[in-house]
Amino acid sequence: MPNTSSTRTILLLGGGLLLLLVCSLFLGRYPTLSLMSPELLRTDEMAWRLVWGLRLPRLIAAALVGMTLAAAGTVFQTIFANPLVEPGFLGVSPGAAFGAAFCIVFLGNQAFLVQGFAAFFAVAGLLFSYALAIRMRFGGWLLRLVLAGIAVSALFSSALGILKYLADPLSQLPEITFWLLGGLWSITWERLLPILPVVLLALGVLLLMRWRLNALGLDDTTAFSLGLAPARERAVLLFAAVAATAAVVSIAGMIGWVGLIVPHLARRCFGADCRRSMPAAMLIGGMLTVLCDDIARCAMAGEIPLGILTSLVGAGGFMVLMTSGALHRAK
Amino acid sequence: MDDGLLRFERVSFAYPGSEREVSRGIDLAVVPGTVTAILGPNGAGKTTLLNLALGWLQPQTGMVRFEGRSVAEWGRRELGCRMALVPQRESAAFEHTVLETVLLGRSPHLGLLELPGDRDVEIALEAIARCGIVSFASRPVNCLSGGELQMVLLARALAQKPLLLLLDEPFSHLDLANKSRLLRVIRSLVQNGVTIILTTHEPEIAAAIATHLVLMREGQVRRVGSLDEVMTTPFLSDTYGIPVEVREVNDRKIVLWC
Amino acid sequence: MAKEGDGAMTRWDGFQAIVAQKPMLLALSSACVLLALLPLFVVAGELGNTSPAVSEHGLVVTDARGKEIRLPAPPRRIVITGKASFMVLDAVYLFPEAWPRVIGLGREGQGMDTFLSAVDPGYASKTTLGREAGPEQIAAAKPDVVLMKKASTENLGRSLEVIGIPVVCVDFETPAHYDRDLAILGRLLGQEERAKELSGLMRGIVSGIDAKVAGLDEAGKPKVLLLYYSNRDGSVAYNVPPTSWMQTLLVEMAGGHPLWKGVELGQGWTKVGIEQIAAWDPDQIFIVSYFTEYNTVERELLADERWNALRAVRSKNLWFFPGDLLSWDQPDPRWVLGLTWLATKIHPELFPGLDMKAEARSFFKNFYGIEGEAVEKTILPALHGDL
Repeated sequence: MPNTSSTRTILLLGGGLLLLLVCSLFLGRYPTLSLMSPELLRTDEMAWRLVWGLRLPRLIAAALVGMTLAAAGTVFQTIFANPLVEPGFLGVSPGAAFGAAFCIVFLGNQAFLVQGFAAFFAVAGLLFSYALAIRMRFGGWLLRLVLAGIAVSALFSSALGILKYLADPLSQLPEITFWLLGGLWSITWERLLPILPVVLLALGVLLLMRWRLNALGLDDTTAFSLGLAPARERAVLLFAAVAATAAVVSIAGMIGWVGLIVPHLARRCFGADCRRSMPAAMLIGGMLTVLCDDIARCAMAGEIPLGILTSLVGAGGFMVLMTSGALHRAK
Repeated sequence: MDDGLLRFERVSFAYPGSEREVSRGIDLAVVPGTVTAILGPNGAGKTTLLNLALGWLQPQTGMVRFEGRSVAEWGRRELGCRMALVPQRESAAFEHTVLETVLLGRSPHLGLLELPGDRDVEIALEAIARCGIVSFASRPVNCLSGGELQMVLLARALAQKPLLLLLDEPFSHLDLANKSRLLRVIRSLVQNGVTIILTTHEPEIAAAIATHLVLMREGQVRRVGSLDEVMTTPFLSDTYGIPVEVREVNDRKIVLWC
Repeated sequence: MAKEGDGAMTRWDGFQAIVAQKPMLLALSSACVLLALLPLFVVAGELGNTSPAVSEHGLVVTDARGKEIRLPAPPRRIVITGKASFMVLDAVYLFPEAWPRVIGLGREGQGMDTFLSAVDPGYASKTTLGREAGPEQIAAAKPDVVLMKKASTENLGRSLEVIGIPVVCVDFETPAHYDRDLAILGRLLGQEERAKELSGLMRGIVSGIDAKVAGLDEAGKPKVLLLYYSNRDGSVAYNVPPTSWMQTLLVEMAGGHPLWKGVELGQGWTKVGIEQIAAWDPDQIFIVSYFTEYNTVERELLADERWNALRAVRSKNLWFFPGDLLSWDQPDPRWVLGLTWLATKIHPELFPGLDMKAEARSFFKNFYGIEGEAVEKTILPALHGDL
């Protein structure tokens, strides 16, 4: 695919995301399930409050969740030179889930506390995996990291199982379950604003270092000979990716498959060079999540957990992507 | 110091936690404008020597100097602008194109957050042209043949604009035509003043291109010197541990063995 | 494989195809998306925080969270939603004045629907919100106030408050909550007299029992075990409630000694095995079952040798907790019936000749203001358990 046209496509994608956000702002179940007329926004105070107080922060959160997971997925896949890893796999997602459940069961379901615990344990999961990988006595560094991630994830998952058993089935278990399935139903400005600096900063770092990311997927020696400090620079990028992931997971719960499938899709359409695939993945991820969240909040009277929808779309898309003929690799 | 672009001074190295020294007391000087071939059997410590030169491995005793300064003291990017490595092989996980891969050679010349500009693309394309791979510059690297990939890796190293080029077993996966093509490219580089160090376990390759020869066995340098001095029947037999015979055919040394 | 001699023309074509990369443009485009949203964050953040104007002379209610809620006038449109909203719904229906004001509710099962339809002919026509109704849907009903339990205030409650819909939290989990939350509802609905009357009725029943069991020392209190029989996925389990739940409190108030106090693992029902039950060696066992009929449970229990070996079973002290359309052991106004019943079973000598059917009739009359046909035809036929 020629690069001029892919640049244009990325700009189009950016415009598409903005357009989608604006349209979604008017879409909802108030007053009835339809696109709200801008007229109503001026005359009905409730409509105004809904749009500005709930829909806008929720839509921004949806876009950021998708952008972050897709960008972090691109970073993880490139650095681990493995197309099957996703941002949560180094103990990050199970850590966040455990932290949230722990807080819900033992410290009460206070939003900020749950959010804080999820973020804390997400990072703790990563650090734990890292420490374990350093101490592991065999295998290459990447293999050790992957193994450590699997072990730490299993540990957190079993701890989560115990917490689910302990939880009050009436008030706490549904909370934990909905959190595990992911959702943005409780997003307000109050919850979005604290994570905004972390997410924007981390996404900025990932975007700025995206060309360098290509070289970090090379062998250590080769990367070193190219003037890079492979271990340090990888740690910086991984940390930025995990920080942003932990932040979005702490407000949205487990949103599956975006971090795995979107980087693939972006590479398919825009080539493997992260200069193009990174921004493309971010935009596609943002659009996918916003679309899924529109369905989550509008399709049925109650909320459909967002994670279920992204997994459905993601896994379905993955099957299509993997079985359809190679788009630009015909040899 | 003007007695060599790269100098090894009594360098010893063992991997951490291992008793065995993979490099023992190496003394070596590489003169600018030469082609030095490091020859020796498998496991002789040839690749370790290259990694020591790069600064990727640091010797327990002794010192490696580049342009008179310890390699450890050089800044990463500074050194990357002067010394380049062509690794033995590389597996690509994703479908980066040849140009995208070669462009990575510009890394040491660019800042942490900088993206390659038009000038960098130009240099990368020059390197691609020099290696004769223009025709597939936009193909993804993970569907190239071994020979084609070797040329891409060489082009990437050339995009670094190095004074010293390290090649790790560059000929081992190539057929005769590709070998001859690579030889030609290396010769043209030498004419342009690039100093070359390459490892190989095939004496004929060394004989075809090297000006200087280093014979290695079990982590030690057995012999150093010009091609004519070192490429002799007794020395090679000693290095490989089997009887071999060096003969001259049409002004070129070949090695007989059985 | 490329040939070295590929001409200058080919090379030039290659250049043309590849050179045109505009990385800066990409960086800008993606940064723009983020930056374009930034000013919106700031503006909207301020807008989101504005609270609706409240008239000075309005109604002020302090709810179960201890939060002061200001309303311009007593609410005419009430929505009851959130988790386990049936507890709130049933309590709201203790105030006949409120019946027409309830405009939206989450349906909570057949028993509740049948019961409330018997109480209020207008019940069937009320808007049903889903179990997980979101703020938009609730807003569309245009409520003056939304009632919910504490567990829902963190997420749903907060969202509603952001868009300016007042949320009043009531919990109705324990007798003490009933005292507090009835007063909150009374104030909110302008029915403070009725709230006092209800609290008085409840207190009267509690103190009537307390007067008789208060004098007992620990030795005089039978060792009681209350078990919830669950049969999920075909695997039978017996569970004890946490210390703080209504069931435990009821046993204590009825003059029994709850054996399971302090064994709970978490904040829900805790599964216990037959060995633990045998080790406790209870004087009396009370069984609660919400989904399986007592006949089935009894048949199953008596077929089990280990159960037959228990002292409580041998001495015929195995009782099935009664209920009508809803069970009497739960945090529902019926807990006063459950308490009375428990007292007669735990201390039959202190409460001789108490007719539970008569107690039930007077309960529905006093608390829900219904008697006659509605009670006799709909509610009393549903009575079950060891009355």
